[in-house]
Amino acid sequence: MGAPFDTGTWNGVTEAIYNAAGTEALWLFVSIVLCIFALWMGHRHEGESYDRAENGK
Amino acid sequence: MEEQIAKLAAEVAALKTANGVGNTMVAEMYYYITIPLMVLIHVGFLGYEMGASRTKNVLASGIKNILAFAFCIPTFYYFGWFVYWAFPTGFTFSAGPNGISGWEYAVSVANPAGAVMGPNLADNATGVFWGAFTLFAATTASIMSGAVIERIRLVPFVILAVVLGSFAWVVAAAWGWHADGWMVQKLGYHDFGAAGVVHMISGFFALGVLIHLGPRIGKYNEDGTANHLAGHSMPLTLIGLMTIIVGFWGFLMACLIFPGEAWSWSTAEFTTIYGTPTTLSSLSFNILMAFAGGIIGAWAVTRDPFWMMSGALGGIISAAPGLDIYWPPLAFAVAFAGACIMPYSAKMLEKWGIDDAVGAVTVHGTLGAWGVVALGIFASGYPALSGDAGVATISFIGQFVGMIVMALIGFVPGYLCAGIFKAMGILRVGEAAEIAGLDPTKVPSSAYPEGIPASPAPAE
Repeated sequence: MGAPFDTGTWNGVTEAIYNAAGTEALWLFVSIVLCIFALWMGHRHEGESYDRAENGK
Repeated sequence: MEEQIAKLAAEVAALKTANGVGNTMVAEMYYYITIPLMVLIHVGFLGYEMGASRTKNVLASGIKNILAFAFCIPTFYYFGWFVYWAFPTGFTFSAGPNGISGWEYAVSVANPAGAVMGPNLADNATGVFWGAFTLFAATTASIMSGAVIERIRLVPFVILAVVLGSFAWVVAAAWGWHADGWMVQKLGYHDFGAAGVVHMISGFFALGVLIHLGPRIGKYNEDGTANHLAGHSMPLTLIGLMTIIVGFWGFLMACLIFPGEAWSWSTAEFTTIYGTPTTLSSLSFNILMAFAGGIIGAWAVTRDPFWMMSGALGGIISAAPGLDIYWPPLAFAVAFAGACIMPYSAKMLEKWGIDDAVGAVTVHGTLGAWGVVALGIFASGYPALSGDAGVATISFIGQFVGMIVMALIGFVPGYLCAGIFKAMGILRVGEAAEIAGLDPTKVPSSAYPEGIPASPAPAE
């Protein structure tokens, strides 16, 4: 996916070698969304836990 | 004859190429090694924080510490590294005198959606530099982490850690820990080992958060006197502190610029981040002497092992701005003095109702401030950065103003962000959860499932 070279050999490759070339911004966005999603899940879990404690459960 | 000269020239060229490749590999390895060494700082903070927690909060403190580290990594990738290169000249985002700063430069070296921020065979430097700075960032956030244990909610804490680790200290570093930084260029601000840009920022940020967070239940009596809420394991805390010291060697190692590369300040010698010459030997003299001065000073005034090990840390922080130029016995004295200040600063904060569970505001904030000002007292007149005669020099005024700026860059965002979370009602855990303990309330595992048995055996 999105290799920055298509020569079929490593010979002569001297610069960027990461995959996803051309879709860098998309994966950047996905990773940011994953962080926000994790925070939201954590916040929800924490809220429920504290509510249970306040209600004596 | 001509043939021999051509052959010799080819051999010299081949040798130069080989030497260049070797230098690049060593430089890359040099910074790569600083990263796991700095991970040891986090091992230390983890142990320190968990040891300082009561048994009912051990794992919650651990989770909080680990997440501060984890979230600082991607966020430093997203914007922290960019801020460091874009902000040195202030909010104008223009290029500085060395041409290594400003918005356009940041786009070329730190664009998180650009080819520079990924595997690239033509670039052996960006990844390891970013890695070392990311660990600086995570360290800054972890310093605040210990102060707020046992009552802060996790997600707001993580956001505070990101604001601190991937933004606030980075602005401070751009201004005062970058050769184009306006504080360096205009004030002659010098802070080799980051006493101001890392330690003061996190100490004062923690202070801003603590004001809104309030003390733990049981910390203060009705008459205003304070109780000592002892952590569950002093040995774990002490070993944690010593491990932080091990990691400090990596931190301070990463404060040097390796010679001989296209991005180096020098072809022949190590330099500081400001381009001024120094050596690893200079650091060895002064780190060890400051370490010892801090322990001995703290022992002299407290006899308490917690403060002795905090004194080791505080001693290095006190001497950090001048680790490149201090005379080692002077570094010892500066560290000794810092360690003597430490317990009084902690007592004063406690009197003001600030419940700092691990003394982070004192060790990092107060002693960071002392270290920054001490360099102005003892090293005035030294050139603060590289360049011909006439460059800005270190001065008491420059260091003092720098100390005020650092205190503000730390305190203001911490105070404001914590205030917003408090207004939203999400800064602090509920009273029932705090009394029951955070581990039984929300952690799906137990630190000591079989308890911590007291030995019935006699001492002999």
